[in-house]
Amino acid sequence: MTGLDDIVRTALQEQVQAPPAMRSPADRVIADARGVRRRRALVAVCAGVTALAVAVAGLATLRDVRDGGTPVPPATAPAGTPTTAPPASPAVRADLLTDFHSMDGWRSLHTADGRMVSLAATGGGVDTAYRTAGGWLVVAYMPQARGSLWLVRPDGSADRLVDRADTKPAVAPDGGIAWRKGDRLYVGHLAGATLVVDRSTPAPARGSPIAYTGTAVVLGYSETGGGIDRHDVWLPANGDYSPSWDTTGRVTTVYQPAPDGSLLGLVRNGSGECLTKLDPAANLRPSRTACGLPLRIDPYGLVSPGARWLAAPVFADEETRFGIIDLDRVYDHPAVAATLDVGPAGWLDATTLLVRSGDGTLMTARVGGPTVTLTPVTVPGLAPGASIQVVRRLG
Amino acid sequence: MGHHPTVEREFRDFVAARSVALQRTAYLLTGDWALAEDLVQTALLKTYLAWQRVGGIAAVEPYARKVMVNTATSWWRRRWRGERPTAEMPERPHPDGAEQWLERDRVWQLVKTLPAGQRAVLVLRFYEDLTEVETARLLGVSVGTVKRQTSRAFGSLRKRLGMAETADAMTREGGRQ
Repeated sequence: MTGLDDIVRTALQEQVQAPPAMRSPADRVIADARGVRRRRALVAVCAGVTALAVAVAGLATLRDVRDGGTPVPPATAPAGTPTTAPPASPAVRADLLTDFHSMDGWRSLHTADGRMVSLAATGGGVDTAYRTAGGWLVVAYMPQARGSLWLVRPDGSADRLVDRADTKPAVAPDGGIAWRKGDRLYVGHLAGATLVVDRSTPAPARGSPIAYTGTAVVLGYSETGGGIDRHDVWLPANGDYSPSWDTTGRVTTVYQPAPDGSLLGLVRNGSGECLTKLDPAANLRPSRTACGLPLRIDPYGLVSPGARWLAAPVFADEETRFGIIDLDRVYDHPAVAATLDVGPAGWLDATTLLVRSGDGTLMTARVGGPTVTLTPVTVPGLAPGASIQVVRRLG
Repeated sequence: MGHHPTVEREFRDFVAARSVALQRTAYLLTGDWALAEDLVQTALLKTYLAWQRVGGIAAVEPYARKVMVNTATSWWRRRWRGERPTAEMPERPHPDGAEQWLERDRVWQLVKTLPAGQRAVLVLRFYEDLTEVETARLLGVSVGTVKRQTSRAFGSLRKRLGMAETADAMTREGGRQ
């Protein structure tokens, strides 16, 4: 037998024989570098008028873009006196995906009442889950089994609702489901434990649902082999899908729909990306835009219940971190309200984000007013340091 | 506020010449082409900001590579980007025997599950073909740490592959130092 080192060497070389085409990153990097320098200069001017706004130091910090990461108030906060930390939340009770494995996805579900539900019945590859009547809608993807959707009950038993979809099915905030299987696109909804197909249509040569608002199915594919960079929309109420792909790359990112079904994303202008509301009924036409924000081209953005706040990847400290953006203000005053040096697990309510620091400490990040407050929390029954994702509630 | 035009031109030349090579290494570190693109951009941004401090063009690529490896192994990226199942990958042709290809594919799937530090050592030692000393310098750790990480990575792969202990070059005395 060939030595393992030879097998590893050949295996690694094989993986990168044919990398997908990548847009030259030079323009993007130079533009980002200008932004970093501009913000550094601004911070230098504004230094000294900031005030402590973080309830907990040493575990994770709220940063602006200066070097050193001194805790500061959000960029939009007026100078003022330090806030008083609210009483520590002793416990968080929410449905959480947990026990993440890079090959198998999320392997368990930790319920709000402290029980663990195994997701083994799905066969693995769990990507996300939604609370629904009678259990959880669980989206999974495995290379061999392809995309699937499951109804998992509190006892861990599961019914497969969608089998061998081309990609992961998209679930709308109202519980609607969109998927592609072979040469057709489908939308449907759950009736009890049964998936009812509401409509189907011939699918385009490329593209699968990447988001579903409940009335519009956003389709996407990757032209370059990297992230999704081509978008289109199917409106099932208007009949069959008719291709109208945006081939200009104008829309660069589509976030998952807000709980109210509205859609946010990024569009490219001359100098970079702009945050915007996208109108799915008008082929993702942008409405109001907020430009000059250090948002990354990355669809991992979380809109809060009530659609007031967006937590999304931003450049800060020359790194990718999570920015909190006030959607009520950002179009008039384009700015990131706060930058978190922690990973977001999801919104617990309209103003509370559950986050996790590098050492696994769980905290709530409470937004609202001029400050963001980080408070350590516990989840009864959950192992310390466990990986988590908040399960969203449908309907 | 911008860089000198010469620096910008040098940077563009560097990106044109080396970004695909960086993209390949980034993919091996992340296991996902989209993440690799993100990682390359982050590394290039840091490199560009530090361009004049880094020194001549010969020093730039090692610097970019070092930034990339350290960023890939940092907790932050693992935390918020890592917690997603393996990306959907296109099928690749495998010109030689299907069995050998499947074995290597299995090895790659297992490499992706290794802790970030062990995986980085394997990529640098076996893809970049760096010596233990060079790998240690790039990662900012001791040569002993590189040896330990390699040994643990191989032990883990062997165990999961159900392979018996073999005298792999890296575990034999006298491997490249």
